[in-house]
Amino acid sequence: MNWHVLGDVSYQKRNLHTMAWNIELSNKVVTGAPAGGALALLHRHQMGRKCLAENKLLLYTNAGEPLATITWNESCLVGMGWVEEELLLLCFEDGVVFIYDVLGNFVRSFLLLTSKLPLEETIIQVYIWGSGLVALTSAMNLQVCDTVHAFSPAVYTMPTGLSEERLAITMVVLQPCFSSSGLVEVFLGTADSSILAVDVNGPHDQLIHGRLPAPVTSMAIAPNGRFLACFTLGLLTVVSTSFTTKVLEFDTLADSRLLDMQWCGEDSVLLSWEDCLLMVGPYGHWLKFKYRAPLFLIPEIDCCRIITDRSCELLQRVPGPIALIRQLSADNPSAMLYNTLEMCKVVDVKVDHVRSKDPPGQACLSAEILHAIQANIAAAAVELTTVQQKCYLRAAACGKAFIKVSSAYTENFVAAARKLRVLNHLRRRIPALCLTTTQYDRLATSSLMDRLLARNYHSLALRVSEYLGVQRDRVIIHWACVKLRSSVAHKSLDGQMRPSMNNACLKIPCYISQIPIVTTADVLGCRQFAMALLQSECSMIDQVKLLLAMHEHELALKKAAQGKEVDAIYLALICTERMCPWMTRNTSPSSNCSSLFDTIARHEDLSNLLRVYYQSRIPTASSRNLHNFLVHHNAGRPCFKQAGNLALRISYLQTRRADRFKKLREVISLYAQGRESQFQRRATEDQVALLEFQSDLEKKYGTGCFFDMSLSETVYNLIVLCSTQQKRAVDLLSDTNRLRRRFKIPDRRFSYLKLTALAASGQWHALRVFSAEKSAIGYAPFVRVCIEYGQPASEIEYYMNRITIDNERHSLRAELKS
Amino acid sequence: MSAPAPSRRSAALALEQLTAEIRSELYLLLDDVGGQICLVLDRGIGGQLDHVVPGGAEALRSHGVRFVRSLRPELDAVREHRVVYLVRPTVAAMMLIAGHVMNENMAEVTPRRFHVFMVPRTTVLCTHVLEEAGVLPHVRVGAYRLDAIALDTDVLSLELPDSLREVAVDGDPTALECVTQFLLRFEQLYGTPREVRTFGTAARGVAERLARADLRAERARCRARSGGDGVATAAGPRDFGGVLPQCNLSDAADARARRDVDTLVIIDRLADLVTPMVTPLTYEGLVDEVMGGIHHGCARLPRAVVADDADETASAAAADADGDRVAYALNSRDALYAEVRDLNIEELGARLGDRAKAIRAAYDAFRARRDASITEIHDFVKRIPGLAAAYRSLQTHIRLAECVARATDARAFRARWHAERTFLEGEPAFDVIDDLLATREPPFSLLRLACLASLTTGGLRAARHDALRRGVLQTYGFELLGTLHHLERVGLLARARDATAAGLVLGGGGARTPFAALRRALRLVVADVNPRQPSDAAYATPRREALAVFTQVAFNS
Repeated sequence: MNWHVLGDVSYQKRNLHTMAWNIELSNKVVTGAPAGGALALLHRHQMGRKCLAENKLLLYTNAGEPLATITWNESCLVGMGWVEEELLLLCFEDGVVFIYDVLGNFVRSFLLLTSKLPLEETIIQVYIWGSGLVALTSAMNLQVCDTVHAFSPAVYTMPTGLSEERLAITMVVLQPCFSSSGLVEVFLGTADSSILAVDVNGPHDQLIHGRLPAPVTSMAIAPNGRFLACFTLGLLTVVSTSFTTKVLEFDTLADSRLLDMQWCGEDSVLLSWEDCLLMVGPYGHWLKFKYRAPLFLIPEIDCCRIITDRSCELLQRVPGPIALIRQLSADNPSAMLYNTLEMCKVVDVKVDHVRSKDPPGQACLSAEILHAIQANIAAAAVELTTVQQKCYLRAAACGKAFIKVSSAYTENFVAAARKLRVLNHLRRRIPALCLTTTQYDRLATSSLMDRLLARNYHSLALRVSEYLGVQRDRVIIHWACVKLRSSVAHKSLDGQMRPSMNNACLKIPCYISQIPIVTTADVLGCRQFAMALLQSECSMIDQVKLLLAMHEHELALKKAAQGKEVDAIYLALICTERMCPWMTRNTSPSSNCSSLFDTIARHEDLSNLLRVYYQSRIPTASSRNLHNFLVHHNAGRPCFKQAGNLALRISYLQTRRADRFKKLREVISLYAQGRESQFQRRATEDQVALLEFQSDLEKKYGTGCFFDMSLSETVYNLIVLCSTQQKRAVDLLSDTNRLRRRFKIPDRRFSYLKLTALAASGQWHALRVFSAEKSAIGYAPFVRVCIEYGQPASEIEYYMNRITIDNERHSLRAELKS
Repeated sequence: MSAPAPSRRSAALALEQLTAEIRSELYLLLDDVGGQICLVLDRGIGGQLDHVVPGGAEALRSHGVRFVRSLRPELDAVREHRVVYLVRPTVAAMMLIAGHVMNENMAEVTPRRFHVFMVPRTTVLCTHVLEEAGVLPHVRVGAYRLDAIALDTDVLSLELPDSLREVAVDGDPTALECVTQFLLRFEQLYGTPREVRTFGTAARGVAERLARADLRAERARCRARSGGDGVATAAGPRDFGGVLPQCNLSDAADARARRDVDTLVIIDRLADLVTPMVTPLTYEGLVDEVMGGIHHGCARLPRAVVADDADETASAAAADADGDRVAYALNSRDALYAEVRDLNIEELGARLGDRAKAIRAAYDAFRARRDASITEIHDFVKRIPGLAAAYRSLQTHIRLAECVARATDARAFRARWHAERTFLEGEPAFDVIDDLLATREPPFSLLRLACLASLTTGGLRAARHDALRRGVLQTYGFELLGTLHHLERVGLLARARDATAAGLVLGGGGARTPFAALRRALRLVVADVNPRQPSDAAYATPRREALAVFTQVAFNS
């Protein structure tokens, strides 16, 4: 046991890998990705200085195996760092940020300095945390980006209130998840020995001038976001991040320059100089490790990785369960269980023998053994070496023999074993992902897969995914995409590669969504292959989406029509319309567009839905589009009837009468062209005539009660008007007759109209006159109308007597009596 | 388009299950929005929600709903409240919402967020409309799957009033997809039917869609079985600790293996357009016809009909008064209504009288016995609430029946019904239509009779067709040109030569008109029946009868 005691807790330092590289680190800068990720190496001169020669950055695994090389020209690099997705950010003086993946592939770039800022402003310092980046500019402003992984990251400015006279020297960021406001909070150590807390609402000076002997040169925030370590002139001060309590003050008595300061877990700080590493505990205890070569610290949430030119080491507090079992003179049940097993190994002692020594009190005992089993399982889970893991697990298994355990314990055991198996595999030289169990638990399975896939370890990823039962198809799809890319990149391989690839891809069972593969194939220019793959995709709407993305509009339309899914059809139609301005033009469209048109016109569903789409938005310009579609582009079969109906609807939206007439004439000309719409043409012509007639009437009689009335209503109103404008009764009646003749109103209908109008306006005398003519409807309606308006019995009897058929009269009387 | 239910009295399926699921979905959705909510409802949705949320406004209040508004051009909501829309996926509704969002968010620094839930699902078109209006960033779009409401113990309704128009006139199959989606959900709950039978093209369309969805589901199951994908990816389980993600599909598979439904019969309305054109003579049919329609299982009745004592309003009838009309629920939970709803109006009076006598007899029998023991009195007292409720319901129905009878005794109603009979019996009397035109009957009732004439005679002769159309335009106005066009498109109003398009799919051929052939083949019209003791359902209940005929054909063919 190689434990280092710091106060009352122990730390262990483990050698994870011996470096395969042969590199002198004394003139290098090393940064490592969080959660046991890859390392980035850079020559010290390349940082913060403009190099004319080609610049080179090397990517290595934790075992020192090379991963990739990144090169760039001339620009001056001011900062680099990793974010949680294991993406490397390189930030340059002019505000450009390049993002690379772990194999050195360029992912994307974005700008930190917006065009609003003055040109001479440059970036001087950068701090990169889990998902974001903060940059300090030469004008002492902070440019912040919270979401580096977004497709186009948003950047905003936080003013610090500092200037050239009062410079900021160091900078750390308190992540939004830890700050009380939920915002990004930046701590700046200023040249006048104070600390500034800055968030988007402005700076907040912590007013500690004079309490520190000199400006803070280094700062580090604990992984739990609660403590801030500051270093100045050999003095280490730890305060809470709310600046309310001072936790520790520790004089290192060092006079040489501090190289780095990081937290190791949540309760100790590591300080590194040229030749040694100092660890300071919460109560001022300290440990010193001698190093002959320079070292680099990579902080993790629960430990710290130490990179030297020979090895990659892990320094961590001994995990609780292990400490419990293995501490000296441990006499708790967990340790006893473990020790018993150790004993069993040496001497062949029967388990019964051990059992016989047990103190009485079976119930108490079994609870303790259960606890001991749990502790041993937990210890195995956090142990790094395989041999030791086995010891703990064996102890747990041995404990199970003593008592009857519930299935939950068995499941725990199996889960721990599975987890260890994956972890151990990941910690091997390849892929050298040095995860502790805590980190593994925090890391989602999907991001673990991401890391394996980013390194192109498909077979390992596949095995892990099958073992854990997740995301198997994602691995296969990623593999296929990579294969496709490489087959296209290496033209020489093309001949053999592509057919085999085709086979492999087409053999993928249909339950895998092939959209990413198809997209990749299309991007790479293998259109035919993409099409072949597309056929086996099962979701119709996805198929259409893909085809549209490939600009295969015609095919997309056909597919959508075939699938008969309304959503897919609309998607195709809307996208096609957006792409092709053919609908808006009156002239015949270009050949490409007209073929699209033909496709739409040929499929009933498509043309129906296009019509519905346009009709639903009639008031806007789309009515003209619809008109054009119906008349000009309907695959040589213009629909004049529908075009007429459309024009008619629009005519009713016109408020001015002149516009209405103009539109109605258009309607007539449209109807006239169709064989099926002759009735409509005649009806519309009649309507125009009627409207003109009504306008004349309104002018003539000075009322507004005619326009837009139906023919029957017009006649009715004319007759009713006789009661008020008795002087003009003759005119009114002649107009009525003109209308009757012009529009050929049948006699019966006219009689009914006149009857009801006369009765309603109380022109009973005129009704007598009217009844003198021979009635087309008999006299029963006269009787009914008289009763309805409460006429005297004599009046009713008058009409009753006019009924010539006796039968009818009798039945009417009978009806009226009841 | 509905699955025929074997009997109204005993529900074949536990429909409460579906209603409960829909209800809990609504609560989830509201709780997810959180805070104080102003709920904006599209036309008709409010009536549907009454069936889903029995507690009404109180139940919604406990989930944060402070105001309920109907969708109108002006949004009338307090700024602090979150606006939640429940709307049909129509372009018009989207335009209104876009208007609201733009008004609210134009000048504001902190834009307000709106929640739009489309019923029963979102569509690409609607999302596109919101996007085009530029309001999509301010709007959260989702779906609320209010597929169907249980109107009765054995009737589910999708409440798609415009579906016939959309499918038959516009050729827009969205409604068919709604039906398909609903049937899939139905299968999830009550199992896959052994067999599917269809009548009409639209019904076939639904069946095809169902089959395609089954195929997709089959593939999806394959995918899930091969070891999780989407679910695990999206959730990103941090601590899976080696435990395999359990697929929830086994439950669904179990449900599909159930066979609560043996045969699913899908009927296209276009397969039988005659029935809705005929005036029904059952009590329920006439209440719908005469009293202004039954919507969402509720009729709005004059206050005088429903209640004369105060405690009546507090009873089962949802008592929100508008003017002097009160909503009154008509369904089989009311035992009396269940008994008389399908009776011919002629028979109704006698049956209601019997009932009144029975209730009185129960009281009298008790009163007559002076020497009743304590237990007997106790038993009777326990029965009193039931008797009182039955008595109240009886009174309401007697008053309602009087209203209906008054309408049916009118001359116009009799004349109209007589005209309908002549068309159904194959001796058309077209001059009735001319007279209706001349006396300016409301256009709806005239067109209904004209459609019946066209359907039963296999289309109108060209001269008569033109005269009718001209008459309609001249009498009611030129605006009806579009209406006429739509009726022709559906095949309701056709010329003699293209009458085959009238959608009569059951058999036919041989006879001069398809309807005549059908009438003979299926004995649709029975010449003289004693209305008090009908031996055949035809005379009394044309609507139920049509459904019965379809079912019969479905099982015999």
